[in-house]
Amino acid sequence: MSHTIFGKDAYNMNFAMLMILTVVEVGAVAASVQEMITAEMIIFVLVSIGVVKFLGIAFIFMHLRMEEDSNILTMTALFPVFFIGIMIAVIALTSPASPDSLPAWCRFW
Amino acid sequence: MDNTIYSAGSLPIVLVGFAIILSGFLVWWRQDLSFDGHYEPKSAGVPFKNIDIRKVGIWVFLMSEMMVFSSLFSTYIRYRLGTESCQAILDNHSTFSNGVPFTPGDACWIPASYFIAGSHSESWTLSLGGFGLPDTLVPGAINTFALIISSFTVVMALQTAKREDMDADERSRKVRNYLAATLVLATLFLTLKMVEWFIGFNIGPFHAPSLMEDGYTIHNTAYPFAGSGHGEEHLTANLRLSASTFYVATGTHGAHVFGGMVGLSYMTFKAHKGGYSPSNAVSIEYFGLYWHFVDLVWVLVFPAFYLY
Repeated sequence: MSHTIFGKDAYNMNFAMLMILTVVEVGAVAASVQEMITAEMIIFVLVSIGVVKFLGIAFIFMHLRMEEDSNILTMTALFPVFFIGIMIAVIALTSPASPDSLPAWCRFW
Repeated sequence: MDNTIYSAGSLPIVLVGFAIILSGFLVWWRQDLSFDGHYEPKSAGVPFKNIDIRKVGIWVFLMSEMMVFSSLFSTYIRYRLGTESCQAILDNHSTFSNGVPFTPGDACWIPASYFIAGSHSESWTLSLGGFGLPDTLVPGAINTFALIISSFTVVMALQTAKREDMDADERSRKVRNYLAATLVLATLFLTLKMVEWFIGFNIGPFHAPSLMEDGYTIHNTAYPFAGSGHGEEHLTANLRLSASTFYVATGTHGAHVFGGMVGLSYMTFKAHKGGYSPSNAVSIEYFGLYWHFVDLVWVLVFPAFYLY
């Protein structure tokens, strides 16, 4: 069974995308080191690329898409997210001073 | 301050944990060893009805792994957000943002990226091919590519093992080669990790001290942080928080890579003996799920700890 993206083998396409994104990621850091882009920009780039790479690996390489049992296994993979959310809210953000430095859009109050 | 970093009292719990993990792997290995594709037990209960029980098992295992790494990331976020950066204190003329004077040995945050992707060291250069990459970032960058390539070689091993239009000997040889390539890449990953942590490198124009050589250790309570834009001015910082979160998170990931290498060694040997066919190729898929998860964690670890 072979799946395709734009008519090409899905594994090959995903691999090419991951390699290109990693080159962009490292290149962005090089630009950041030489102060060609701002700190906010580098955070945005790293988070965006990280999310895309994460999804590419999970959906294509781990078969969370395009397989018969993909949906139930995706739900299984997402199950810990609820607890992870609690963990980050209760542990990661419990430092008294830490929420002060968060932007307004991601505060709980 | 209590400098104890290890408590012997927790050793029995650690050993019990290892024993449980080991027994689980032994049962798994025993089942895989005899599996010829003729009988794959299916899950009977909702919601996993008719899905291979080993596939359900590996996903439940990965769920627990998500919790392990989430706790490490939560700790990292908590300390990173809750500890004022050394650079900010230096910019504030050696006072915390609440005005309290910084005392030498106080904890402040110097991210690992300062040593890896920053401009801290006198020996640091921008020499790598003129691309402006710090030499200290090279091992981490190569490791990122190595893990991605290794994820690809695992799926190629799976794809090849499933091919029925290929001669059995040729198929076995190719599957073995893909798995062996994965093993080599995993070995490269851990080797470069050791270089980055303990050894450093000095090759021609490229020079990078190890993190240990740079003083980025969990024991360092007196690191002379010069930061940027302050000339000779510096503050004496306690690195334990920052270094602990870095080494525990990346070390736990490295331990998972090592665990994968043990599995890969067995699978490469099995492939060499012609043990994989289209009917039992799913065994490679199940290992692949673990290996992709390890890659997936690195996708988050690399920017969070190495670049930012």
